Amino acid sequence: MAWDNRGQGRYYYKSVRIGKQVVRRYVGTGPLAEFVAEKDAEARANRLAAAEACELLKSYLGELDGTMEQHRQLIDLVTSGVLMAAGYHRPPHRTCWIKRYGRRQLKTG
Amino acid sequence: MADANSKPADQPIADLQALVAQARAGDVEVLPALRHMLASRPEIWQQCADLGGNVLRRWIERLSLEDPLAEESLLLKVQAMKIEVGGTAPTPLEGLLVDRIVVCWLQLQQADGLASQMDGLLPKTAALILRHQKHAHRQFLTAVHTLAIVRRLQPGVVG
Repeated sequence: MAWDNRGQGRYYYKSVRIGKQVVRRYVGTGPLAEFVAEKDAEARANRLAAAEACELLKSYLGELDGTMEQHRQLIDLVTSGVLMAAGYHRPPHRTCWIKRYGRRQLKTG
Repeated sequence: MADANSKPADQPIADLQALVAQARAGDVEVLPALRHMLASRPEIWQQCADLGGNVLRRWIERLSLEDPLAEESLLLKVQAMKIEVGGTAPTPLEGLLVDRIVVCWLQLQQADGLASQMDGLLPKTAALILRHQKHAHRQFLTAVHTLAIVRRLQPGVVG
């Protein structure tokens, strides 16, 4: 969105996206154009603030993700170790644990 | 976790990773070594417990918003939950899994809290919160499921 200064006049234009194209549309001049420009600036500031808030929220929510993931991996590793040591195994692409040897084929999951 | 930059403190975990990877690949010869390692290297369990304690502490700090009363209440709730879920004498593995459940439960509390205050939020922000809630919920269910499996299979002395 921009003002065009030509001669002694000031003309307000808006850029609008239509499909893949961005089209520059003439809005007007004088007090009405000033009012529209003010409202557009307000809306733009609100959008920016909302995007900033969203980014802040995203980083806040993700703050402990790294530690949580590390914890999950460690727990998974130890659980797998214990179950394998006890004679269970998890076939590829399966989530259940199966007794590797012995009479019983105990399944989970 | 096990990379070239692993510190010596991570060595037991790296060793365990190597053995588990071999066992996963179908090498049954490593099972006695795996059993021995889990039974004779308390630092493995200690490292897991330390990390769990650290995550737990950070969640409690975060949820209590520096309010000592809220922090104390959360601590009491967490202790009660640990006893309720783990019983009075959990095995070492059960203890770790109970810690995980509690940590995931705290994460879920935050996610549910945020999801209940979504009025007036932009769709993008609301979607972010809902995604976070879904993720927290899945993590919690997985943790509960893992404990149920371990209890069902009762892996024995080491766990």
